[in-house]
Amino acid sequence: MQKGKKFFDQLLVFLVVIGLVLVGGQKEGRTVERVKLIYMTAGDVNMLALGQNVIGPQFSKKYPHVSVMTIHTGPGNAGSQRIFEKVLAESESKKKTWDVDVAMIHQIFLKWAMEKNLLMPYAKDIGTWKYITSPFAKSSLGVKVEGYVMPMFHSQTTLAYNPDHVKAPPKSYDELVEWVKKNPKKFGYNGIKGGMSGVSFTVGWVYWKTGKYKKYAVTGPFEKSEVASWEPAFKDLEAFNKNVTFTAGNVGTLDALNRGEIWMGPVWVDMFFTFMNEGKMDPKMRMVLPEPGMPGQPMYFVIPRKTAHPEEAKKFIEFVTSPAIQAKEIVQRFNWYPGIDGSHLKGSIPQEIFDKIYADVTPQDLSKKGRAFPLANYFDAILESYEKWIR
Amino acid sequence: MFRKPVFIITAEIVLLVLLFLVILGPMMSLLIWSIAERWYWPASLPQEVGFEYWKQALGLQKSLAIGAVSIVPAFFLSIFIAIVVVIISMLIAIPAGYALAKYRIPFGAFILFLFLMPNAFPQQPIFVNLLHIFTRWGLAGTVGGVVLVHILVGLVFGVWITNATFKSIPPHLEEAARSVGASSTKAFFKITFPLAAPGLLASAVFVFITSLDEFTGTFFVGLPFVNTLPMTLYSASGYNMQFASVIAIILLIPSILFMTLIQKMLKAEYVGGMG
Amino acid sequence: MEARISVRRGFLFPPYVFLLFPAVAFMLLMYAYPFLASVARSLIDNQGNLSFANYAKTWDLYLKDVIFTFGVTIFSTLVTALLSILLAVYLRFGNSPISRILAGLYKLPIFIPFVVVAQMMRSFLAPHGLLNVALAKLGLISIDYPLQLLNFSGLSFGFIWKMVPFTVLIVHGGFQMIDNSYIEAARSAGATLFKVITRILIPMSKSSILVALVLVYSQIVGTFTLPYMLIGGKIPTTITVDIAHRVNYFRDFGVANTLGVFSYLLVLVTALYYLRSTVKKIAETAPAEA
Repeated sequence: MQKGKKFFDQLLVFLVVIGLVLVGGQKEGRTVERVKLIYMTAGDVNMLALGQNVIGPQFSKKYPHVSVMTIHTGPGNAGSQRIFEKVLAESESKKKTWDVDVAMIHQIFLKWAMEKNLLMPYAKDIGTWKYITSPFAKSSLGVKVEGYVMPMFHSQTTLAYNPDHVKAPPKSYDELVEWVKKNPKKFGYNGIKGGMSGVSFTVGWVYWKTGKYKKYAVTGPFEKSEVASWEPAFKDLEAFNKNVTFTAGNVGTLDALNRGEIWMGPVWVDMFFTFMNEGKMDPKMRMVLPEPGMPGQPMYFVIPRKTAHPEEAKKFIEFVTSPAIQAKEIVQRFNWYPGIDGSHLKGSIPQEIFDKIYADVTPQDLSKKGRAFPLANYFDAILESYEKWIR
Repeated sequence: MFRKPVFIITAEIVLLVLLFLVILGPMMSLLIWSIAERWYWPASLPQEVGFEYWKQALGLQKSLAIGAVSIVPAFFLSIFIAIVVVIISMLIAIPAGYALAKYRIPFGAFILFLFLMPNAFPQQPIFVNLLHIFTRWGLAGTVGGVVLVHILVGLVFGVWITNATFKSIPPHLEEAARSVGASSTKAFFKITFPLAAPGLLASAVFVFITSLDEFTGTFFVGLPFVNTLPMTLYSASGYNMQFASVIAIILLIPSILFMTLIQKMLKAEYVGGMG
Repeated sequence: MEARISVRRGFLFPPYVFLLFPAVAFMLLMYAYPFLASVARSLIDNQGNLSFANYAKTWDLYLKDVIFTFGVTIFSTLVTALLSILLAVYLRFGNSPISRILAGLYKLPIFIPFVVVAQMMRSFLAPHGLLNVALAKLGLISIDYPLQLLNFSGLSFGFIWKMVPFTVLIVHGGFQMIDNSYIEAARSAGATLFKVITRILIPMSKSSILVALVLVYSQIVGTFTLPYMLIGGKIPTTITVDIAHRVNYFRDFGVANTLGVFSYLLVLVTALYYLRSTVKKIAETAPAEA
């Protein structure tokens, strides 16, 4: 026991020393004009790793006087909510400059942030703006954001399926309803709480049943009578749900698919590929994007209005949206769809990566069936209708 | 005290096996995931194992291949905060627990309930408000702010458990000491305190663990500069099972060490007090 | 005995004020304002007027979830109480190497944060998770019809798993403070084990037991990570998941805080029960000691 105790003491001392060295090493020496850029990102822990292990160091190599501190707020809308709460609290205080320099957020953040005027317009000032063609850069859930955002990457929801059990995947929502009747409990999604993949499936359902995608997502206007007309669509969904397995969230669906509990479910393409790369998903799994389409959304870079380091913030965003980084890190390493227009990356990506990402969902599929989430008011209405009509 | 027929002994063994399975069963998934590098259906165990995530977490390796980061600074910060929180909390909780146990205080019930409130009301809405207040006072993003939040949620364990402990000590023991001339304070330290020691130390252990595991409040108040281990764990937990499992196992260590340390001190205290 | 607990009122501060002051002042400063702000917020509707609109909406949409939360909490707390008392009794009287091993083993879940428990239970209780796979391998169930545990039962299991060790620690501590002489006396008077438990152990450590239960109850009500990962978007779900939903998708603090008030009322009811019985206890112990 004594010997064990002595070993423990030594181990403890060893760990403390290592800890001090590592912590100390994080503090930069106070030389001329060293800038510490605070980069707060929502999303999953690989966003944290990307910032800390790859983008941060690479950026510092290019601009030696800047060090990047990556903070991570967690996955999903919850993560963006927290960033919003932080920036809002700062705006309501009397601070001259705010802590956060660059933030990476989901679409819903913009609805709240633009209302409260928390962001700085910057996109048109940076060099990579000319590579942006996607309409998502101009409008997010119907909120005009042109100049305030740069998409970092784009993600799309699709139906992932297990080809061993699903020999003829449904090509549309119609076929899906039939398939689910014949294979009860083998389709799984998370409803509208706990994960955006379920929300996305529900939104896609409403688009399909009403056929009014353009009105709900692009032009508007918001009319209460439209919402009232959704009752039959949601009652159909309630009937559909009876043959469905409910999962806990995005990861719940992927997990269930992985464990063979379900054979099909809505997933985010980026999570799907990441799970595969990390050995948590059988590489034989496939995807299909059903007619008439399912929503996708980008993750955006924004700069809070009163940041202490606006110039470095802009340079950072320019760096990550440059074709070189987009090709190597976003597409090649993570297998995500790029934020800038894909045509600028041709030649920078090895053909096999290209084949892998676009194997099941081709660029044509994406442009035809890749939808946007609806305008903010319709979005809220869909969520509340689900709660109201599906008991 | 009670006779031990054979069937009692078999029952004991059955109980042991059952508890082993129930307690360690779920923990097995944790252990397996922490070394799983490739695990998908239909394999009931990982197809590939390795220590990549451990190396990444301990800062021994810095690659992006598997989406994990070094947790060493967060680890030490968490422990530091927990220790500070325990000291301050117990310093104000023990007198409060004692007062509530020994004196009939007007609104005593209400005061006790006051401490319970941070646990009774779900944390998210309250801590959003706290963030706004702390930002105004310049406490947001500081270690001090986080310490205050931890004390807020830990104090209930401090006060309630010490209160119950002191209540269970028959007052006539202290009175006996005083009737032979000992002062109030001496009676407390020589008689009541040693008797209450197990309860007080249990209370301290819970405050420590609560601080070490505290997430919601730390998250709101600590961003962006204060990074504790639960925050990294929460980020990883939905998504990256392997990394989350590694952090979880590492998080166990200080708690278990703290508890064994306390129990060692407790044994000595107990023997000294009773002997 | 009455002398000890007589209240010393007067214009000079009674001694207990100094003992209580730091802790109480801290709570009032740090918590009172955010809490009152939350309750106030629940009474303000979307247009900014003072009204019960949020309460009406919450009742309409989330009543099922409130009842579900209450059900899980009560059930888990009661089962925890039962199992903990039994285990604590065993540890109190056990004197074998087995009981010593168990005394160390049972404490393990205390050190595991809820977010990790959530993680573990999700992978352990899933239809093709560790438990079901193990049971299938033993031939007790068929893997095509696994035990469906990601619901009320799995959630309760998770809560009970995490809370029993905590409760045992406190209750066992209470039992340990009961001197053996009481038990010997009862045994020599012919009491069975059952009578010893119900007439001596439980009543004499009543305050420890009730403290543990109220703490367990309020912890369960306020937990987010476990229900979120096990049940998430299913219907019904817990109050905490609904709060997160309202905040993260709508920034609807009106309904979120209303749900919080509902949760708070659930705890208030049990806590009052505890506090009433402790007041009774002070009156009861007086004659017992005499």
